[in-house]
Amino acid sequence: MKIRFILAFSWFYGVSTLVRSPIYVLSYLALPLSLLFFIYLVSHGTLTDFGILGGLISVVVSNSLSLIGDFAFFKLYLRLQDLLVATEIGPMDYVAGLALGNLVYSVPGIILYVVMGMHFGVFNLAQLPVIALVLLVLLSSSTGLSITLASFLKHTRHSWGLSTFMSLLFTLLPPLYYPYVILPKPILYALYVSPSTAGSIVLQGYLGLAPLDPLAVWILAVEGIAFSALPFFALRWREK
Amino acid sequence: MIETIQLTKVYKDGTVALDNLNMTLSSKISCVIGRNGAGKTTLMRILSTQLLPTKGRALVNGYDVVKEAKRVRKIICSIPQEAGTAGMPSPLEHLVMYLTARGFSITEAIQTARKALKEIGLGKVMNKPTDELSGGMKRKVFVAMALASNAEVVFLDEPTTGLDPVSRLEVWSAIRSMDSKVVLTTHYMEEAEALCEEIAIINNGKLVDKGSPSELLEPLKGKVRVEGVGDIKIGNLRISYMSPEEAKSLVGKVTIKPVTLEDVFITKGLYIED
Repeated sequence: MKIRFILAFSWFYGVSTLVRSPIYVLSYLALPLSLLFFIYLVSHGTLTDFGILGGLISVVVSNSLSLIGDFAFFKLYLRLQDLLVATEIGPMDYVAGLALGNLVYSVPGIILYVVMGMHFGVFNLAQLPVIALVLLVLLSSSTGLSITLASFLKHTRHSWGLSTFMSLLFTLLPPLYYPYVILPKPILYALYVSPSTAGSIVLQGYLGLAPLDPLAVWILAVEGIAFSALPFFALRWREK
Repeated sequence: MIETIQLTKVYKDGTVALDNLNMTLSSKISCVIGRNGAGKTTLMRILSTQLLPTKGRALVNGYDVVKEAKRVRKIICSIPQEAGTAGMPSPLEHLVMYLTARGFSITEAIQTARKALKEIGLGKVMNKPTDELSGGMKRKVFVAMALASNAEVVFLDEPTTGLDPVSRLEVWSAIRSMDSKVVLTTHYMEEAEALCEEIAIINNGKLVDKGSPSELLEPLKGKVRVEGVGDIKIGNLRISYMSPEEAKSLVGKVTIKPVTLEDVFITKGLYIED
């Protein structure tokens, strides 16, 4: 891995956007915060914990999915991939740079949700390492899947539709903002296609919001490895 | 040195972009010229290890672009034709990102990038978001990348497209100042003539002619371009080539111009639509 490049790229992609255009932070926080507001109103505060946990997962996953658009834009419109193919870095360095940049970019949202989570007693300091680990697995797997899909797109415009659809599939339908136990089993199994389902179930169980389902831990591990490794095998780096 | 041996590229839709291209480019600044769709960009992308050929071989300083792609990537810098800057990051951040990809340390990349940006006239805007720069300045960011890259071979695909005349001269000056071997493509004949010691003309993926500007102009030596009469028809314009003495008899009825590389292009029939 080319660490220097990964750091420089995360600055290029994450820090510069964060510093020069903080409005993007508001844009990715708008949906989870609005959902939290509605959940609080409708449930009279009883499901607020789910709204906060769901928002935290959603910030990481939805930003990783926004990579579909950014990756396609970089590749097809800015020719950034062509520029980088002809250097010493490999595809995984590029993927790592994008993922780290995305994480940097997501940090303000993560901090906000961590503060809210601790303030409302959803989790405590001691539980943060496990939460961070699950979020890292979700970041890595969503990034891997996004980049692989985006590398097959031939028009930037297609990425917008795909990104919206994936965001629905990964953050709104899965049990991020509500207890997974209310889902009928067949639907729950179908939603396991998204790693955020398994990630949310693991965290709901770990934080005592719902019973822990060991199957979710296995699925999260398998999907985490499989989706994270996907670009290594499937990403189109040099064109045929 | 760049060498292609029966280099062929056929795209999935059947388009033959390169057709058994045999060519050697050995000068310090070489130029590949041709019409849109002639195969220039495909050639540059294959030489830059961005695209795999269908058949044949291509060597960059002796390294095979397919079998030894990693070695080739260590010694080249390739600036794609439509490379664009990414809005928020500054020119300096663009260069640092690129130079670290080429193996520079971060400190080394920052120092080299600053120097190159100043040299190309972007010193005052190096920390501004690239969205705030003019089109010409954005293009110069990529030329600065090439300048800073310290690569053995630099590929520039139409580096001056869309630049104003002054910016173009600045880019020419930067290209001349590079220690690297430079291979560039261009539509501008005056650019090829001004910059390159060696020019390859390609059409339909094949080499049509190659030589220094004076060698290419040799068949037209002692002739002038006469616009207004002749068998060559481009749009509404009729062109012919004749000696200045012959042209004198037509003064008043025609426009007489000295011949340039554009005329080499025309006399080789490259103005005819396929």
